[in-house]
Amino acid sequence: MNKVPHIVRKDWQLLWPLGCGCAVLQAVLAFLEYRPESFSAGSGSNAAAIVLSLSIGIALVLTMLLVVQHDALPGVNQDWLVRPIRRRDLLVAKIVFVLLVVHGPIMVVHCVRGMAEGLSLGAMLRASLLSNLELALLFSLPVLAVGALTKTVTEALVTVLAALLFTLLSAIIVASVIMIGSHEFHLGGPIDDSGIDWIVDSLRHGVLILTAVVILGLQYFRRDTRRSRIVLGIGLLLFVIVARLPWRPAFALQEALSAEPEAGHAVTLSFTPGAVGPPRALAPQVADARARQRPVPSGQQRLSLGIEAGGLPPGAILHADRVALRIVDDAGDTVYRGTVQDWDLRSADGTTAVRQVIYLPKKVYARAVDRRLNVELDYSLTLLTPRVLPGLPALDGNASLDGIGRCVSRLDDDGSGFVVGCDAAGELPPCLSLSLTQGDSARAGPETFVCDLDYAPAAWRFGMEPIDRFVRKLPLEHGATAATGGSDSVTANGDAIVFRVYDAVAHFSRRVSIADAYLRDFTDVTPRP
Amino acid sequence: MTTGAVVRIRSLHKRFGSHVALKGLDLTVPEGSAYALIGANGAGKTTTIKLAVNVIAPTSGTAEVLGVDTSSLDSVAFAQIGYVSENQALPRRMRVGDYLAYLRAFYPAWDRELETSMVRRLQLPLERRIGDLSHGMRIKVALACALPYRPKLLILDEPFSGLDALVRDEFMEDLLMQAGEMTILISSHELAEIEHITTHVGFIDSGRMLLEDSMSDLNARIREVRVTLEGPASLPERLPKEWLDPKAFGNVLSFVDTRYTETDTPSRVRAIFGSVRLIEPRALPLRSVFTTLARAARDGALP
Repeated sequence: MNKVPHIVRKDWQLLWPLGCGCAVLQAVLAFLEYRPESFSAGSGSNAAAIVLSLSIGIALVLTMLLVVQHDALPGVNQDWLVRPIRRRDLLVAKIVFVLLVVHGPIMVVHCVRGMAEGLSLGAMLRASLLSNLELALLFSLPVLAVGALTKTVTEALVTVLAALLFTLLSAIIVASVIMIGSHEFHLGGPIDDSGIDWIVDSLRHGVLILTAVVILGLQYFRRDTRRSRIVLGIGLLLFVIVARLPWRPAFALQEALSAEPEAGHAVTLSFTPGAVGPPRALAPQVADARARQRPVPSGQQRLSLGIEAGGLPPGAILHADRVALRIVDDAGDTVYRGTVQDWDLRSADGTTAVRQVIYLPKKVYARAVDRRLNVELDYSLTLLTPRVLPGLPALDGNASLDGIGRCVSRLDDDGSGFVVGCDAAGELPPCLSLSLTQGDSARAGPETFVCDLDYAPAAWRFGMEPIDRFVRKLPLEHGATAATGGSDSVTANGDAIVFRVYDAVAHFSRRVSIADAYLRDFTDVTPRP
Repeated sequence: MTTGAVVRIRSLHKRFGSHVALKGLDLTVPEGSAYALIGANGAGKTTTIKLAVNVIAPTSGTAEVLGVDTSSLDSVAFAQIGYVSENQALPRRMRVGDYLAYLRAFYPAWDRELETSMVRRLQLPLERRIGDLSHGMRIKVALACALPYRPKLLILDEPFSGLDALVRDEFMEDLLMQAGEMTILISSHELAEIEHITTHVGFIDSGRMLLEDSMSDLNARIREVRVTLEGPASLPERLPKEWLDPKAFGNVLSFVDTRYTETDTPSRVRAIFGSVRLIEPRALPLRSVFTTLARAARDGALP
């Protein structure tokens, strides 16, 4: 006879106060974060939301640890060990309990909140299922595994702290070993914070899930705590090692996954000494994010050289995900190897240029400045092509845009521009832009980008938050002659917000080789961005 | 399974790191018996019991319980095994009544009337959390959780540890009342408490079974022999190695013969001591058997 419901009932008898407490806290947090309109703030303060989120996290972890530890696996004195309780039933009961008591309320709260904010039940159900799936695999499963390895909450905390310390030390050691002889030291991996970091994330998540599953299997079916601890150590080490996945194989995989690989075939890059490019197309969203991660180039020499790009489809954005630099002397010896500043650019007529910025250690520069060298730049590139969506009225617009979500717009309080906000059940597209188009002339203003480049396949793109949103302000001077007369004149002019979704359609590599070059010729004269 | 053996252990070894707890242990608990597993602290009694219920795995050797290899004990087998231990970790946060109700569903043969009568006799507080109970009361709860399904095999590992005399008596009364056709495997230092129910005994020392016998055979075979001599007694330098714990006082000397027979022992006494006024063999209580054997084992004097 199936005893799973019986065990779940027993655990509920013991843990219902904690389970109900978690659900209530989640409802309160949802209320605080509820936004009647996309561009309105939640009703609660940020501090309260943070405290509540933290409390919910702790309560959820406690609930999951306790439900496992009520029938603890390590040790030899537990009463249940000599009872006719099947291990499989026990494990299934614990999982069912977590799904019902931890994930059930989260789903309900997600759906109610999403519907209250104007999103459909179907969309919210799907988004919440996906976010709960991620939460279950990446949060609940590891917590259950820690619970299965320990007998008390204190033991679990010590285990987690030890695991964190082990991971940190391993990361430092692995990074040190890999970076021997290099000019750079980063604790993060080479593809962290790039559009292809989903590959490393997927590998890490795979390692995490596999480790947790193996530990749960070993504990529930063999009660082999010693071996489980070894598995934990190996899992953590693998977690650290996969983060160091080299760029080339990762980008090769991304190239193979290109949706329209032929779209990038015509794109060319060439060295054009005097070429100067426009500001970055995606700046400041992407540029700033990258710049924040770049160490301040103290003790470095800034160089720049002109790169001309051709063969770009109209309106497309060419983004350099990574630029690898190799400087070789006449004898074929490598003088310097490293990565240099990435960029993105766009051209209306298919051709444009960019200043490729290079930071070189001053010591390297001093040694090599007057030598004849060969410079090789290996570009990993992504072509993003725009898809124009139906426009949203700039004034009091409210529509569901396919591929984005529910978007609303209104005139800003001080009349200086339009505020646009969008809520999506699930994830927003990784890169989109908004521009204000004048009704009479159809003249479009400059695009404001909302980009967090992520090239993961669409089905692979989901996060723990079931609602993704953004709010942007489009100043009136962007688009229009319209608004000087206030909202009425805006209405009359029929201004609209145009959304463009930029799809990463092709990933490819290009190499630019500059033979017989002197570094002094690349001394940067352009102002810093 | 050997016919009639409820627990059968052969060549069992168990190693914990560098410590060898069991060194080729053999043990057979006949069906319907009350088997007392006795031995000094650290002899390996609890390890043997934990292995018998598959709580720990052997390093080598085999153990069968109710005809099933212990590594394969399933819920059907566990539904026929009762277990009470001094270290048994019952769920501390559960109330006594809730725990009984929880367990009921796992035992097809659970007898509600028996449960009720045990709860009444043992005066168990159904509404109290198990963690709030005294040690003695928790042992009573463990007993009440082990008997209502009338297990074929009841395993008791030091059940009296920390219990006062009254609780011990109540425990034994309940045990005897419910014993019926049960086979009992009991490990205890309270030998006086269990002697009257014990039918078989196994003496374990340093992970080995030194002696395993029925109580009737044991009583017949191990006797204290008091020899009254014609003159003052003195112990000869060499005595048969199966004569343990020899003492002399006045005209009397005594020893424990571990291979006593009505014909052989007196003739050997006479052969060693010559003229003897009186030879009085008497059965030893289990406690004395244990202490004599334990002392001899400690001193390396066991035959």
